Amino acid sequence: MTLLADLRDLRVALATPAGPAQVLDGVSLEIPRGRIVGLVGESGSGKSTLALALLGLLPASLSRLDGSIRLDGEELVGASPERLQALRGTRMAMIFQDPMTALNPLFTVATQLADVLKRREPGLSGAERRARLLGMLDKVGIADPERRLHAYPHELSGGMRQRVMIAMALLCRPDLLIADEPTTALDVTIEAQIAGLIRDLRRDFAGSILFISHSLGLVAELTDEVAVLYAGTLVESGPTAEVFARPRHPYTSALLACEADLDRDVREALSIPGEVPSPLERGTGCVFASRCIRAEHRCREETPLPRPVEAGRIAACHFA
Amino acid sequence: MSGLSGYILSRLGTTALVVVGALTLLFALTLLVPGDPASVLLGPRATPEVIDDLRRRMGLDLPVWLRLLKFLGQVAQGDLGIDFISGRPILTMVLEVMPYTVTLAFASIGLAVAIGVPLGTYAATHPNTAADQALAVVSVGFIAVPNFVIAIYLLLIFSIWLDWLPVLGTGRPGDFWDQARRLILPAASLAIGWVGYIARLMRSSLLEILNEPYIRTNRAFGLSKAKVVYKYALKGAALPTIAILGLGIGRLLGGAIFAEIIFARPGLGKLIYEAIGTRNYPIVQGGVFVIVLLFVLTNLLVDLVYAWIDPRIRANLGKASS
Repeated sequence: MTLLADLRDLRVALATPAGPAQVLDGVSLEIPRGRIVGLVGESGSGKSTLALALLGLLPASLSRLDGSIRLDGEELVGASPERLQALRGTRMAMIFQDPMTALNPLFTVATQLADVLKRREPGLSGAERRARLLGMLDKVGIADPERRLHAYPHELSGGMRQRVMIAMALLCRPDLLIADEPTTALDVTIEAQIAGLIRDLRRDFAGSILFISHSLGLVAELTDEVAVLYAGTLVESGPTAEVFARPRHPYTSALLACEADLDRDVREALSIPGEVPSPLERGTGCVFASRCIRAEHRCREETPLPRPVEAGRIAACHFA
Repeated sequence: MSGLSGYILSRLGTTALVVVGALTLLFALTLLVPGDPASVLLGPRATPEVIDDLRRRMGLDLPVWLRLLKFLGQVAQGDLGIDFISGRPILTMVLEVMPYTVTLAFASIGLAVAIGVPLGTYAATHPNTAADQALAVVSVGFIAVPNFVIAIYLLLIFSIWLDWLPVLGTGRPGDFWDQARRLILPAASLAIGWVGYIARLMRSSLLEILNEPYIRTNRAFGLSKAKVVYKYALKGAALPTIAILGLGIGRLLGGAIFAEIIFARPGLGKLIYEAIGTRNYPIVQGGVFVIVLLFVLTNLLVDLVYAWIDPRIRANLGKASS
């Protein structure tokens, strides 16, 4: 299996009013071609920062990037803004959490989709472009695409807007599609529909997907591999089925235990005690030690590095 | 589009109400201001008989409500009354000076937009650079200096020292270039404060829009910076500026008086100012009425432009009027 994207020891420091925050602290992640890789973790674990770093969308003046991101062998850390812009919308694209705000309210769906397609395929005639847009809206399950194409975002429901965003991403035919919690802002039935759509798309879509979510259920359903982030570090990764069946890191186990409930209220009650350490104050030792039931003296002294624990599986725990 | 036409109708209704309200206030003005207009017009040496005669001819002997109705009825027919000093219809006098005022107001605002919008856009796309900070200082300076001070400096520099532009007046009738040349300095003196204002407003609204998630979407799909800024961000960022333009034009219609006096131009502001000095209330009423009319029409236009740009406003209009 060849690698599409290869992140090595990625570090991101963001400038905040309180000082530099190490939001990602040495994350390595491999995204194989044609696979869906899940990225899970609590809010503030650095999932979205990782996605924005991949696309080169972190504000250069406020962020510091170290390590390596290779897309198809090409190094992206330190690449020129022009080169990164050339890659966005052609080799990689991203859909966002909140479809209500991800589309410009002053332009029709047609205008916004057409500009993306024009960039990918400049040679198309107006009629060809229109046909492609209609075909794509149909493909992502939008009924009456003729009418929806000329609608403004406020005339569409949240689920339909997310379908439009997915259509936009597919028009680019990117090698790497990043989906940052694409269902989080939607209600449960729509969430299931969008998840179903992403699953169906696997048949036509040849690229890889980095699927960011804090819903372990969706990650289990949709992804081939999974990486678990905690406080800006990778704590565990491997094939999704294996990781979920036999977690090797106590944090993954705790996450799975939280998820193994029936409704959100219970989940709140069962959530892992303690707080994610602030990226402003990271000391030595394991980042999870303060909340870990297995933590011992060694965990507070010695930082466990991610290491292979069995074939294809990595965990960053002294006890894994 | 039915939403839009319903909206226009309802807005025309409110506009009519505003105009009638303004007229009533203008009428009340003549009752509240001390001094009898007839005796003021005729001077201290007029006999009571002559004053009484003029009072009758001016309709001042009738009951107040009847005078108001008569006044409203006349205005509705386009009759703003007769100036008792010159004997000319006030409508004619107002219409004579109106083109100068309207041209000056629109030229000033046009100039302010043509300079202020690019400056604000540049500042927003280069935030916290030296140029941005310099623009901030200059903009605030422009806003702070009164326009009559700017007018005097412009006159001194461009007309007297450099001798590039004519000093006073409006130019020979029918000679477009002469008139345009004489419009430059008055328009510039009024525009400069608005340049600063529009540049600041444009900067802050564009910066806000550039932080919107949908702009991040544009960038995530690799659209060029020019397309993101000039197509997708500028449209939304223009809305607050457009709202301000309506007020700006309204203010300039009545408030260009300093520029009119300094540059010796006829205009509505000057006409009203001189009429107040002689307690010539009919002219004050007529002039202010026309300013109110232009003001509400300009703001109606602004609201329509707003609805044309923002489909969400159009949608709300449709709901509100149906």
